Amino acid sequence: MDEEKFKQLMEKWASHEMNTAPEIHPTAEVYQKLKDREKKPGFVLISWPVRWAAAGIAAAVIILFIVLQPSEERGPLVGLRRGFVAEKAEKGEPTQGLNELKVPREEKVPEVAKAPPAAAKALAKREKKAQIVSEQCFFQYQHPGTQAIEDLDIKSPQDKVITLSSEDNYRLVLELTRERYVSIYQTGGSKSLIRLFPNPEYQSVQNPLRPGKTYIFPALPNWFYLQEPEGEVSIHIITSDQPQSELNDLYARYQDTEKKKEKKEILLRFTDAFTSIKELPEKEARLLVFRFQTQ
Amino acid sequence: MKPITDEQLMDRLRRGDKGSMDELYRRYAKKLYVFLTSVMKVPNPEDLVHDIFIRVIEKSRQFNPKKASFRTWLFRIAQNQAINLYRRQKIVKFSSLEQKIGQMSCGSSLHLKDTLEDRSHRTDEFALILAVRECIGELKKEIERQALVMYYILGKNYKEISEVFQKSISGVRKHVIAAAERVRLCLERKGIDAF
Repeated sequence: MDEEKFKQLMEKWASHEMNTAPEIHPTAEVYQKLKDREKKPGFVLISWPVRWAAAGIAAAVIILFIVLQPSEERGPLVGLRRGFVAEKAEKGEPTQGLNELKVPREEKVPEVAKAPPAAAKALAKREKKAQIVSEQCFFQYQHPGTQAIEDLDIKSPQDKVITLSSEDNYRLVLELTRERYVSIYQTGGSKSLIRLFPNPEYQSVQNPLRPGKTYIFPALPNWFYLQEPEGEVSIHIITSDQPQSELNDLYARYQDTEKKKEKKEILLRFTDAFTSIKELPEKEARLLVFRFQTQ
Repeated sequence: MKPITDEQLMDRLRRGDKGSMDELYRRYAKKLYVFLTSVMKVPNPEDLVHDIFIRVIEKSRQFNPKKASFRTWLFRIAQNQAINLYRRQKIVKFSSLEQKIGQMSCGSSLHLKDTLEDRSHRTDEFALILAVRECIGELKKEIERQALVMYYILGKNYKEISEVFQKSISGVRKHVIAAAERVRLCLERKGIDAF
């Protein structure tokens, strides 16, 4: 049988089958199904136990994802908690002699206390203005046992590297001599990056920061603490005359991306940006870096 | 006026339009029936056709005309139903010759003119058709049988069949050609030299 004849035969077969097939019309069951379907949106077709099971599985997957993902992709490693003095006061324990707001400059104006109230205020203002001849920047920390606040002047070279654990609290104190734009970034050993300021979670004030005012990061009575050790941690404080749009853009990109590779690239660009700030005249921009170890 | 497309009918069906269901039945119920009866032994092929349409209703929200045409989607459902049935039955047998003859004796053949000459011609034609059915049924490979039947039911459209099978066009063409060759040899073995 040649191919052409075969094809004709097959077409004949197909046409015959189609012609002899019975007429089939929708049954009552089919119509009923259509009616039921019309009433129910898709998700209603899934029974409640299945929906609950699905929700449970989804929640478990999300938790596993959060727990298992590498640290650089997790949220900020910096936590926020109330200072030990505030905690003590909340528990009703004596706090006499303990001062949550221990800013180095305030302790250097004892004359204020002796003067009458109105004059004292003016004197304090004058004293403060007179003393702030250059930017002041302190790293403060406290151990849970002592409650004492330790100060480290970030501008001075560090004699020794301090070691903090997740039990310890720390914060930054900043005073300016003129209006400046400020940003504070913390980088960790596991290549994490968090902007401590500007960050409405930690401090509500906004750039530019005014001179002659003491800014504490985070806002009182809170302190930062490390949620987990990260090796060496660096805090970069940048002050500048102009808004730091390049750093802001980089940080926005860092937060937006989920890709590890891209995050690493952005971190490298941050390092480059910090290096270039160092090379600028102090009047334009200044970078202060404080390092500490974590355990 | 442009005839309403299958996809538009599906859109209406989603909103519970009975008329669209009737129209889809009119367009495809027979094709599905032929496909199912040609590729496997089904005790109640009509029921299976209804089952397929019920699946269409259930899955109507999943149908995406951008991904596949309605025909492709429908025959994919039919193919899946056939596979499910195959798994349930374990053994698939094509409709037996006797069954087909039985169906035909009380089916459309009764409407043909009944002169002696016609009867003789009709018998010859039946013999050919039945032989083709038998040979298609003898195809050992399920996919070849389905591909060949679909090729002639869906208007020789390799692309559409490839979408139903989710295989390459060349792969489908290979199955159809192989199946056709086997059927041709089978017909020759039966001493049929068409016309």
